[in-house]
Amino acid sequence: MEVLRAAAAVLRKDLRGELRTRYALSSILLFALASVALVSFTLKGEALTPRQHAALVWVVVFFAAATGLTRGFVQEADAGTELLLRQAASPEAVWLGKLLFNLALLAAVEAVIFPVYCGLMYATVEQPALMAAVAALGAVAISGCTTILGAMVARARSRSSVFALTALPILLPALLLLVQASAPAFGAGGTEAGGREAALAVVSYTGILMVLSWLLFPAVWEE
Amino acid sequence: MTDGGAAAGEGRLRLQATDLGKRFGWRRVFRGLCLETEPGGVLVVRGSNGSGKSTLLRILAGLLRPTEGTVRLEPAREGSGSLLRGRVALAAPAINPYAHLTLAENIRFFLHARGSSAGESGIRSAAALVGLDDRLDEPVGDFSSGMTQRVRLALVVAAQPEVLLLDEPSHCLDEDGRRLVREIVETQARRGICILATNDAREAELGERYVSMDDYRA
Repeated sequence: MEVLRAAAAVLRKDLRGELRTRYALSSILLFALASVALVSFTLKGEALTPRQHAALVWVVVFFAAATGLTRGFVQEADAGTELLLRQAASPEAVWLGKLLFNLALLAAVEAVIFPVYCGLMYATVEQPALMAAVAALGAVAISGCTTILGAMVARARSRSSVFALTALPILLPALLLLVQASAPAFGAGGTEAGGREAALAVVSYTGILMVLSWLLFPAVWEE
Repeated sequence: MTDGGAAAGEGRLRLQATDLGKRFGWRRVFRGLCLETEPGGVLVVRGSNGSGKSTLLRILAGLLRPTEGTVRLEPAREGSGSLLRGRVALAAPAINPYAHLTLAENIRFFLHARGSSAGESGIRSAAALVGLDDRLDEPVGDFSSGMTQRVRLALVVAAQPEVLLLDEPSHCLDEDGRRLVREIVETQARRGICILATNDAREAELGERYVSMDDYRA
């Protein structure tokens, strides 16, 4: 209960800060919208297969998340507020609060990116419910991974290389599964069952990521 | 290891550090430091630059793990955790409040995250104590260095810790601010433990016992 209360305080603090500064939201959205627009203008309405749409949209979401989601901890370190946060809340509460913040941010970004992508890339979502479920799963997987990586990145001297070196190998299996799971939603015929299986695999992989992230975070955060 | 102490149960508040040492990579900052303090007097930590005053305070606050030795706060509290969180508070020039939050939001966040039930009156009285009650709704990022130092003091005072650790508390403060520090230190010494790290002669006068970090240099 104490952890939940402290996590809620961390989440409120981060949401309030983000609403006032819009550092993360603007950088993520700018990257995502610029990427989608660039691909759209390059392809000039050329038709893509459902698998290509699924791959492209997750590439955009992943790299957009990478530009903004790790900043939470880096900002704490750069602004000298990290020790205040460590005095205020337990590592578990910090992890949960930051995870929920990243999740909220990514959900908001996905809510913009997916419709914009479909509009600019002439992609049709034939199974909106499946698409929404896979998008939610993807948001949880990416947030879970970027939360602990953000804490590691904040401690590293070569911040950008640490994230690039660690995030891709950890998230690659999840991204491949997300592409497989969302392809049927874009209309890839005959693979609906395969999509569901891939979605279940994402759930399992995300669960493992979350447990490992929860267990490892105190060691990363406390020194 | 830093822990809540082994001796559970009621008893007099006591902070005890035994054979403390800290190394950053190959560089050893200090070693063999022992101290014990109880409510009623102020312990002043002195020492030349780089001797480990701030490092010691961070270890005592549970924010840094010692390389050697132990820190115990007795009586142990059930569920107080391994980091003494909620019982110890540290104000230091290197610990900043959130610039984009107002003073009231900073104090409210600090108290709520620590699990304190202090309400709006507690927030207002902490701000009043440091002379910033008329700036409660202004973002801390707009404050001067001296006002920011007062915010640091307001945060730890609002938390009402059993152990208050102050690292250069008069940093950036004017004469009025120095009087405020004296008031905070004297109040804390009556109700709990207060440890001050400073090289300022006027601040050091507040102490009744002294530890020189230079004696523990490796």
